Order: sequence, then structure tokens, then C-alpha cells
Amino acid sequence: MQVKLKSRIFLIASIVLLAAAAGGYFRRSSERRQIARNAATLVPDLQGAHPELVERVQVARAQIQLGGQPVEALATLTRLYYANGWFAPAARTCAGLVELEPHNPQWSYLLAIMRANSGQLHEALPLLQQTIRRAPDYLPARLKIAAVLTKQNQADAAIAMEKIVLEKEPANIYAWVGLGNIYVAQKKWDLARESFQKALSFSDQFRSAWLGLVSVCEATGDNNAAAEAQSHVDTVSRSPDSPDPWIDTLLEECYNVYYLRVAASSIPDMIFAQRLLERAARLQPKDAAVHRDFGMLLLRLRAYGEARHHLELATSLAPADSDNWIGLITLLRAIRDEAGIGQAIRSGLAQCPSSAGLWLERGRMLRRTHAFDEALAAFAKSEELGAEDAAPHVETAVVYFQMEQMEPALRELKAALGLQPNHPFAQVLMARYAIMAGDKTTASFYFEKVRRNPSVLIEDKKQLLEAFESAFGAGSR
Amino acid sequence: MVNRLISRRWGLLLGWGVVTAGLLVNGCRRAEPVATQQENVIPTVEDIGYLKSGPVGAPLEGRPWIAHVTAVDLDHDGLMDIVACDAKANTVIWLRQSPRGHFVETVLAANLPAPVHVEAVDIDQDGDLDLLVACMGEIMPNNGKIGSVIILENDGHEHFTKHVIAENIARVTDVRAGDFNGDGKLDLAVGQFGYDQGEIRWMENMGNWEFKSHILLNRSGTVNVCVADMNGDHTPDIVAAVSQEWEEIYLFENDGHGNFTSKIIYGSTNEDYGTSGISLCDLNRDGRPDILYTNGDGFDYAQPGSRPWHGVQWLENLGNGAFKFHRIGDFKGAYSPVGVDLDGDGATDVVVVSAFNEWSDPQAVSLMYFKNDGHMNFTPHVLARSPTHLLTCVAADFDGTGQPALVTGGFHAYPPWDKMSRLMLWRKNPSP
Repeated sequence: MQVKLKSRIFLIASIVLLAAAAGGYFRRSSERRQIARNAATLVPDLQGAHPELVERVQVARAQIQLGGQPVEALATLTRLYYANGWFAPAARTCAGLVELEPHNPQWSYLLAIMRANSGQLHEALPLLQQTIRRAPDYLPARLKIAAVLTKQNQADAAIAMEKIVLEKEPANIYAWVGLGNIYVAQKKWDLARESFQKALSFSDQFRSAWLGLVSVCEATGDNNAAAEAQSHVDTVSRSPDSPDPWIDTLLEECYNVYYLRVAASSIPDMIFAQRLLERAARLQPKDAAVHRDFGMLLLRLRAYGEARHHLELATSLAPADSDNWIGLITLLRAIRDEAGIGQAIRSGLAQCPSSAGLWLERGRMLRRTHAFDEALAAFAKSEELGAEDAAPHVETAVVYFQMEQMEPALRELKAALGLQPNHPFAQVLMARYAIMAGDKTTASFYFEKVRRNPSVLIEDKKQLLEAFESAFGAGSR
Repeated sequence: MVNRLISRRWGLLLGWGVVTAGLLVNGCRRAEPVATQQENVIPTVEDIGYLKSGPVGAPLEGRPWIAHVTAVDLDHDGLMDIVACDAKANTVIWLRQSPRGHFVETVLAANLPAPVHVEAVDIDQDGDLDLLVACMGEIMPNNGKIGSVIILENDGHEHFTKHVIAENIARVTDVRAGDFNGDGKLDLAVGQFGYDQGEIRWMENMGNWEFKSHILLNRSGTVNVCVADMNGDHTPDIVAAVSQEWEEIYLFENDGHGNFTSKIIYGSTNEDYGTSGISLCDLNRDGRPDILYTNGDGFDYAQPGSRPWHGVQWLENLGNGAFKFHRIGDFKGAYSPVGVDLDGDGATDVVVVSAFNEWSDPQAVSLMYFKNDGHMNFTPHVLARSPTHLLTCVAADFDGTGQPALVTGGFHAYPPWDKMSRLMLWRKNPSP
């Protein structure tokens, strides 16, 4: 009898406990679904958005409302919102993810980035700190913390964080440059110099490191070293952005063709840029500008066949846009297809008779065939159509130089520089002419302009320096 | 067997046990209802037609580059005038209002190398307004030391003599006045954008148009400097907005003798934040000057244009050199923040123009005001989508009615070219 009683009690107790556990589970599930619903209440304006994007957003929102898979649905929304520039709703959904999955460092990191990007560093910092607790080896997060601390005047803490990065990755250029900038602000010139030089020891193509070194040298009165460092600044292009895999891959969820084009034009990774433009072309296959951008990228990658396909497609999609014809002509010039160039110019001018750029191309083509008078006429037409543009004057000057008519050539160059004082090629030509004429004063004047002009190609600067030193002696500048 | 184990009595007990367990776990509260509130779209109010606009000054020709516009009664005739920098014509121009409602444009100074900011102040303290002019030398990127600080000295009859105070320095973007060393003479605060290198300096007025430089910061990218007592110690301090990759707001606190302590009061880690301008305004009317701050620059991108994080914010002055960041709203290409009670409801609103928006989109906004509800909550109101490419804005009472009007300047350095303006005056549309 007692055994029976105990069995019954045990059975009932077990059932009650199971019921309690089930109740707890359902309660937590209900809470999680509610968190997801609350996080998804802010909706961006989807008017005009790509239909596939709209559908994916609606599906994810429906999943949240129905209560299934809240984390996956919220994550989809977060990625879609962020990648398409809807930062306010993205921050809301991401905040929900942080609440639902506090142990997932990617959510806290993404939310931190959004807060930081919109200037809210006080909110960003604790999220970044949460990130590195879960992912201590994700160095982009540590670099970001150091940057935030620097902006908040917490230099010592920022230095400590940069040093942690360097312990894990001694060749991290971004950490060395970050340290250098902190030391510059503290006027600790020796430490700053060491940091920038260390960065440059890993890569001498890091512009911001050279810039930092210039600041140090100028501040310490070492003008020769400053000038030397500045000459390196003039020869390297912008430092690449610090790689950030958790963020960079989100671009692949972007449906905004403009953003994809902008991102593709600014990221150093050309293969990734190619993927972005492929996506843009898939999203808007009839967008001529996308095909033009794609064609120009492929041109830089020397994929000439594919580049030609996209550039020709651009001209057929939007024949009245002269930029498409000019892009195609640029490609044809690269592959030395003179017949193609001629055809493109004729077709382009038939569609865009008022295009200053196409008349410029016509002039260049005629100059190459030594039809100088016709070239001059074409450049004059270009100048007439694009009155604010220095390019026709520069091209005209080149023709006059080829015709050995120096005075009109110089007049045209001066006219060009009057319209655009910083025109790179005009400055280079003035410098070259002065060197040829043995006019050291004028040559020095224009050489300095060229040297300080960030738009002059590195190779042109080097060649000019060689020509200058050849004419006037090494070290005579 | 189950029937033997679970008799009716035990079944009841079991039932009560389950219910009790359920109540203990779930609590006695009602389940949260599914959100029934209307799902929110980010609110923006269409207010096209709130203002009526018309061109002022010389007619539109070519593609204007009006870099700065300010409102000042230059000739002290009681009528508010407009003074502006034309960075393409390289002139400082004066649109004199005389008689009321009628503006006549004259060139006050020509051959100024890319003037981008003009400030009216009686620098020589002879009773008339002189003009401080910041000259970049070249608007487009340039590393050269081609900047200059120029003062146009007024003879009292609005004839101006040019004094070159500094030249061959990193490109100058702003110059303001303040007596920093307490000697009774007005000194200068100078912001120099440069390109790779730049500076912020104060220039001590030695008298006889001689100024001595003191470098405060060696950093590129300064777009604005402002002068005011920011920390309540009754001495003029300097606030500077620094862009390029730094994206910082600096406060240089003055001890009253020209000795400054600098600190970053705000910095963005987003190197593309696009700091485009600051202005001072007691936004919350607590007696302390706050900082209005736009980030909307898009000129450095491969294709000039906007970014999703562009917008406007304010740094609330908490006193003693402390500031708190508040985001006001998003606005692509935001430039030139102006604090003004535009709608006359007693709260200071924020007017902002856009210089870098997606102009191929007919919905792109060029003029916005963020309406303050009196509790520092701001609602964006679209005032205009045309003209486009607006770089500068000022608010003033031009009509003598107490109602502010706006003047905007167009800066057309990239396409499209179909909705251009030079200088526009925007007045409140009379109620029907």
C-alpha cells in the first residue's frame, strides 16, 4: 500500500515537474518571439526597393509574426536592412538579436558598428567590449575599441588595446599607425616616429603611416626628413580600409545598385568589387551605368573580352549617354583597336553630337593619325561644348607641341591652368617644357606643383624627377 | 494499470498540481498581446510650399560655386544685407538691401584666391564692419601652401582695403575673431584644411595689421572654427570641426591670456563620416552655447554623393567643458546647420541644406528643417527638392517682421546641372 502511494506521488510529481518545465519552455519561447516582434516593428520605406528584397523582407517579417525561427528571421532582416542602408531599422533588429543571442559576438559587433557609424560612441563601446569577451581574437573589434577610446580621450586605454592587437598580430599595420597617431596627439614624438616606421617596415605603401611621419618630422623641425616622407605620401594612393570580414560580406545582401557601384569603386579588393558589380548587373540588367562600371573594372583587371561585352552593352542600353561611349573608347584604346575606336566615335557622335568628351576623343584619334588640323578643329569643338573644361586646351597644346609651335602650345597650357590650376597633365607638360628649354626656375616651380599634386601618376612624377635631375643635376631641386 | 494508479481523487490532485505548476512558472499575469500598434515608417513631413523662394543678386550664369553666405547689416542702415563668397569668380560680394525687399549686388573684393568663408566684424574697432575672408587658394584637392587669411578693411563707407594677414599656408577654410589674450584687441582663430597636413592657429593682433601666429593643432581637415565662451569662464574659447579621416570636434579652452588647452569633445570612428560644418546655437535655451554639427560631405568619393549615415546632430553643452552627443536626424549630404525658430513656436529648430544627395532621384531633398517640439525631439520637414547642390545657408530677419527668412547658396561642381541656383531667398509662404 505504501509502495503504491509513493509510486503515485512520484508519478504525479514527475508529471507536475514536466508540466512546469514545458510551461517554462513555452514561456521562454513566447518571450523570445515577443522580443523578435518588438525588434521588427520599425519598417523602412520599401517603396521603390527591388522586388526580391521586398519579398525577402516580407517573408522574414511574416516568420517573425508567426513565431517560427525568430533568430533566423531577425538575422535575415538585420542583414538586409544594414546592407541596404536602412540603419535605424537594422539597429533595432540587431538589438533584438543581441538580446536573443547575447553569446553571439557577431550581433554585438554589428550593432556596435552601426552605433559608431552614426556617431554614438558611448553606446558602441560596451557592445565592442562584449564582442571581444566572446571573440577575443577578432582583431577588427579590438582596433575599433582603440579608435573609440582615442576619440574619448582615453589614450592610455587605447594604447593598451593597440598593444594587445600587436601581441596577437605583430605585423598589424593598423595597430602601429593607431599607436603612432595617439603618440602624435600626446606629442611623444620618438614613440610616434618608431610606431610609424614600424608600420612602414611591413609595407611602405601605407599612406597614413607616411602622413604620420611627416607630422612628426615637421613637429620636431626635421624638415628634410619631412620632405622625404612627403615625397612618399605623394607617390602612394589611399591606405586600404582595415579588413573586417563580419561586415564586408554583408554587401552581398545589398540590393541598392547605387551602393553596390559606390562600394565597388572604393574597395581595394577588385575581386570582391567584381562580385558586387555582378550582383548589381543581375539586379538591374538594363542599367547601363552598372555595365559601364563593370566594364571599366574588368578593363583594370585586363579582362578585355568581358570588359568589351559590358561596355558595348552599356552603349546599346543607353546610346545617348556619352560616358558609355567614352568608356568603350577607353577600352578600345587599351587594346589598340583603332578601327573600333573610329567606329565608336562615329556612332557616339551620331547619338551625342554635343558631347564635349566625344569630340575630345575624335581629336585624340586624329592627332594619332597626324591629322593635326582636323584634330585642332575637333578640340576647338570640344572646348566650345565644355567651356569649363581644361582638357581640350591641354590636348590642343599637345598638338601644337607636335607641330613644334611652342607659343600657341604654351598659351593653351596656361589657358588650361587658368580653368583648372591643378590640372595634372598641364602641370607636367609645363614642367617638361621648362626643362627642355633649360629654364630651371620655371621648371622648379612646376615641378613642385607636380610633386604636391595627388592626381599626378606616380610614374610621371618619377620620370619628371629623372628629367629634371638629368637637365640640372642630381640634388639640384 | 494506469487506472489503478490514477484514481479520480489522484486525477484531481494531478490536475491541480499541473495548474499550480503552470501558474508558478508563467505567473499570474495575462499573456503579452501581440503588438497591435501601427507599424512605423520613419516619419518625415512634407512641407514643400512652406517657404516661397526666389533668386537674389546677379542672374544665374554657368555653374555657380557659392561657398559661403552670411547675413549682416553691413552699412548699418537698419536693413539686413547678404554677403557671400563666390569661389569661382574669386570674389566677395555684397547684396545690399535698399530699399527693403530690394537687393543690389556689388563686388567688394576681387581676385581673392578661392574665398570660402567671410565673417563681418569690426576688427579695428573703428565703428564699421570689416570682413575676415578665408581663402583656400584652390577648392580642389591640393597639398600646396596656397591658403591665405585676408581682412577687408571698411573705411566706413563700404569701400574696402585688402590686408593680407597670412599667406602661403595650408589652405584656409575659416577665420573668426575674438580677444583671446585679453589685451583689448581682436585676435583671429584660423582653421586650415590643407590636404595632407593642415593646422588650427590663433593669430595674436599686434596692431597695425600685424598678427603673430600660434599653432594650436597640426592636423588636416579643419572645416570650421567658432569662437565663444564655451565653458562659462568668461573668456573666448575656440571650437573646431576637423574632417578628412579624423572626424573630430575640438575644444580649445582659453585661460584668458591666450593659453589654450585642447581636447576632443566628439570624434567619430567612421573615417567617412563626412564632417561638413558646425555652428553655435543655444539649442536648448539653457544659457550655454551648444554645437550644431552636420556630416554630409561626399566629394571625396569616386562618385560624389551621399552615405546612409549622413545627417545632423548637436553637442549639448553641459558646462565646464563637457558635452553630450545627440543625433537629430539623418539627411544625405547635410551641410551648414542653422539654429533658428523657423516656425515661430518658441523652440529653436535646425535648418540644414544638402550639397551631396542622390540628385538623379527626384525625391532627393535639398533643404530640410528639423522641427523642435520644445523638448529637443526633432521631426524632419522637407522644405525643398529643388534647387539642388546647396552648400551654405543663413537665416535672418530680412523683412523686419521678426520672421526669419533663409538664404541659400548653390555649389555646382558635379552633375546633374538641371536644377541649379546661385543665391536664393526663402520666405515663409503667406497663409492662404
